[in-house]
Amino acid sequence: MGAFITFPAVLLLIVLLAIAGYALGRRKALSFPAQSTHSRPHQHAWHVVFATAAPSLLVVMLWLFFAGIASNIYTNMVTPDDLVDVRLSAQAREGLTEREIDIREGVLRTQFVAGVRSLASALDGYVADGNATEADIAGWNAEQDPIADRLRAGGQVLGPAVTNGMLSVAQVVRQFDRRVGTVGPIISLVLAIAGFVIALRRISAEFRARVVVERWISGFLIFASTMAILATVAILAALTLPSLSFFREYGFFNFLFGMAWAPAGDVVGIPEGRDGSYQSALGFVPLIWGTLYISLVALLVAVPLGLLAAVYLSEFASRRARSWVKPALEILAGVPTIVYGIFALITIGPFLQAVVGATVMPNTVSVMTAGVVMGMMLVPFISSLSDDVINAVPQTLRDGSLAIGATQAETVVQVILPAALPGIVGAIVLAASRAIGETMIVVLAAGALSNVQGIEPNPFGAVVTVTTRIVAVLTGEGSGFDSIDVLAVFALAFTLFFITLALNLLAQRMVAKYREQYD
Amino acid sequence: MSDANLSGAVPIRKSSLLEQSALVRKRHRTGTILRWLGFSAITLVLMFLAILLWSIVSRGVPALFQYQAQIELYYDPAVLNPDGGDVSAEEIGTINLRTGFERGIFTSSLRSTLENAGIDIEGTVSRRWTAEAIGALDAAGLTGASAIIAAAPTPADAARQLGQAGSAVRAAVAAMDGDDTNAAITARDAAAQALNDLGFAQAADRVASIDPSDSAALAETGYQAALTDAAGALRQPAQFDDAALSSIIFATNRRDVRDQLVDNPDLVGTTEKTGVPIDISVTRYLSGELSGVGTAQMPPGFDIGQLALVDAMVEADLISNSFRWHFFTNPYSQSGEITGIGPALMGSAYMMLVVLVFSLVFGVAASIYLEEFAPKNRFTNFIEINIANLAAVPSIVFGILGAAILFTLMDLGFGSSIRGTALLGGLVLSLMTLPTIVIATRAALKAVPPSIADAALGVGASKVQMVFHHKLPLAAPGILTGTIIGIAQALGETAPLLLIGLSVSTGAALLSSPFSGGLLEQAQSMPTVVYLLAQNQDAPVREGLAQSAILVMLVLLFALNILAIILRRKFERRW
Repeated sequence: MGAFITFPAVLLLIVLLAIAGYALGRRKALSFPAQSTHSRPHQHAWHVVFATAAPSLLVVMLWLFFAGIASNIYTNMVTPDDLVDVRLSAQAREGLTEREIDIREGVLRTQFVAGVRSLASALDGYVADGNATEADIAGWNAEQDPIADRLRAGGQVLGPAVTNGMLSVAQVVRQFDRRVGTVGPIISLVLAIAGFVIALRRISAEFRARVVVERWISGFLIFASTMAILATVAILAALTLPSLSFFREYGFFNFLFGMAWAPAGDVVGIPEGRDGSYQSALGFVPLIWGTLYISLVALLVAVPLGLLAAVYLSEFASRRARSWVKPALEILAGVPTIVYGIFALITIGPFLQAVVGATVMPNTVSVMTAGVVMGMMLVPFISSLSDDVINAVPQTLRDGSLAIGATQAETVVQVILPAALPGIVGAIVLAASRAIGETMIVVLAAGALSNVQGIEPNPFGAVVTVTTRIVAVLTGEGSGFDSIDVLAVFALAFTLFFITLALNLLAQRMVAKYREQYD
Repeated sequence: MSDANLSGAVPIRKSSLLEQSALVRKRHRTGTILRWLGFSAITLVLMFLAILLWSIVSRGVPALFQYQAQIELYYDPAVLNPDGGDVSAEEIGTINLRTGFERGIFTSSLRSTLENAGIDIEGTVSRRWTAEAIGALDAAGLTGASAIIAAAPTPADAARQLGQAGSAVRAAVAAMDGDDTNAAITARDAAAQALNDLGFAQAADRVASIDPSDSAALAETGYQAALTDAAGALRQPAQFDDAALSSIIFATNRRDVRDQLVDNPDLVGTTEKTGVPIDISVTRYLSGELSGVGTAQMPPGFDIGQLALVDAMVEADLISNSFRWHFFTNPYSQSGEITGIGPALMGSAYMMLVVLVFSLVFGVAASIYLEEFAPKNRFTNFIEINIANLAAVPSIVFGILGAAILFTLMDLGFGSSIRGTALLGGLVLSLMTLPTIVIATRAALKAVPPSIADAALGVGASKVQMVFHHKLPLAAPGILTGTIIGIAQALGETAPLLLIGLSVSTGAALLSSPFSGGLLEQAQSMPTVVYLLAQNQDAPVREGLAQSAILVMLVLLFALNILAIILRRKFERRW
């Protein structure tokens, strides 16, 4: 019985019910004389569909999500505190403070719970494939049977080695999962049937199905538009909570004014270095130095080129030239940044090295390599934004200037550019914000894998930046929230987010003010 | 002010409209400079674009072709079925890949193929090394070396003799450096004698005539280096073994051949002509990028003996250059010979599917609400600010959000199997695409003239009906264009995917269909595979195949963008 009430089967049932609901609802509505009904037959039909599917699907989704969490909490609850798997041995306890023991046992417990849950799902899969019966498994003994090998041979994915403690807890958890896995689909199925029956019975000539359906629709529209808020809130939460615990652990000023960046993989709460500090050096200064250095080079390349290009395109170029150059610039803007990064790494880097010599530039990765290419990437950004701004300068200003005898160049330099200045500065600020947040170019071309720890003044030397350190720590088998380095990376993202947010708000205000001036 | 000018009080200027004064010329010159600066800025940027595209195409297209050795692969029963009798699939499955397949099948097949083609393997190798030795001796003025080497019973003997002569010369240099003149003369004469014994009479005379205190003159002859090098070169052929032979082709871990045999054990004992990839380092020699002369021009890990064999294989027409079809189907691998982007293309397609469904549904719904239904109040204002800001958040922050969700879910007990899934990647990319779609949709909805809405409302449609029956269909082309552009952006995004573990999920072969859980399997994606290829240890992979993968990605991007442009041209309506 239990085997048939699974979520895929229930989903199928709900869909079938909804289709049937549409057909039946429509038929019933059609049976009324056309003039006497408030709503059209298909509106009645849709009403049945919504009533059948919406609540039950919502339950399915929530259940799928919370069943996993509930099972985790349950596993935690049923794991006895005195189980050897979750206790530090007396030997390991020696010389540790109460707090450190707690933290380490917490880590053990988390691992144990994860192991139990993967074991439980592996056992489920093993039984479902027909490799063993429940009775077989009840008789297994982890100390004698090679359970992990047996399960892996059956094609199951398994975490660490299996112990008897894990096995016994896993059996309890499986029972719980089975119950949860049966109750959820039943609830959603009952909801679907209830919705189906009630909605069908409500169909009558006076029933205002259209109003109800439209209420459903606007409810969904409002929900969808709050997604943007949800995303922002999620970002803020994701950045703030780990950052705060990092600042509490490591010290806000140690981070902000730290002069070296050298993560060493300490576990949060257990400073392993001498004098009770963390071994990892997690200072912000070298990173922001590298970031700003590269951004500066990029802007020095991008701003003159972008502005000149914009002025030329909007004031001097023929219509034909514009129609060719603008799409070409758009291509440049549409190229993914990783392509720029690889181009910098294998073409620009060796070229620069050949030009300035290997003594000045020991590696092909450097501030200049990344900066020049990033500058080129920003040119279309600056030129198209400035182009818009220049085009928005009222024609009367141009005509007035030309009419009093100024040449075209004088009009551009002395009238149009000053008039467009706030907008242009806004564009540059936006470009700076993009340069600071840019990742792949700097990861590939500024020395992501280098072991620079401090400040590098040489423009042809490798540097570390905020974004490259985030990638370096979080790429690969990230260890979750229990490493101080991971928390530090969240703090980096936190600062990055607020720097770029501030720059963006500033740019938006500038552009908005500029618009007001001429509207 | 203008009145004053008209009053006639100003003296008449002696200027003409037809003739430009110096000042006017100067003013116009500034204009010309500005114009030229702008022009050269654009030229520079376009040149950069051209170089960028050229560097991708010129490297990526040749890398799509692969040199293959045409080998008659003999599925040797002696290796595959040592105990005789019937071969079973299980038996083949247990045979070691390295000893059984790489050594037993591939190396011996290569050897027999070469022999069948009339190539004397050891002879070719030793001839090349002998030529190298003679070249070294000739360059130092030790003429007649070929006869001397030919006269020795074996190359090893010749090597020993040359080595001894070299040691004698070195000893002479050392002795002549010292203060003992007699010892210096003895050593010098011994060196001359050794050279004379070998048959280098001219060189022996030259050594004998050197002033015993002038060690520099003897060192300058370069005899010692030449003799030692030649001896070294002559010793090389003896070290040429099966491992050196098989390293020319890519035979490492030939799982595919074993799988083929497991599926079809009847093949054992038969011969099959197959193309086996040439080692990726050697391809640069074959394509002429490395000349094979001098250490800097050698493929890493290879010597001239192996290159001589490669030359012989080229001459015997055993090496072909064919299109690398498997690049589009194979999974990513560290080895450039068999690496591919199949699962990456698939993973990217899955992610784009998620992005399409998620951001289109939510993006369009949100835009409709904001544009048509939302009252102007603080709440909707707040939503608008949020959307504007989401559009400007650096992509890596979305990656951090994804990582936080991942860690949280893992802590909550979803296991680490959700790391690097197409669903997670797609959701993160959707959040990034959402603002693009919202902005495009709102612009498209705004462009629909109010008369249409008024007409619909006027004949009794409800607001929902007006929007869904009239405005939305008219705005659809604009929405579609915006969606395609948003998806094209999402396709190239790398950083967020790196942070949620797509760079480490290299295990997946092909994913299941999205309806049977393919979205929840560990996926690869195009940009992350490009990233991995760009960091490969072999230069041909870094500089060649990474560019091929980029080329594929760019072709997809351009196709999407062109689709967007065509749709816009075709359906765009102006009222």
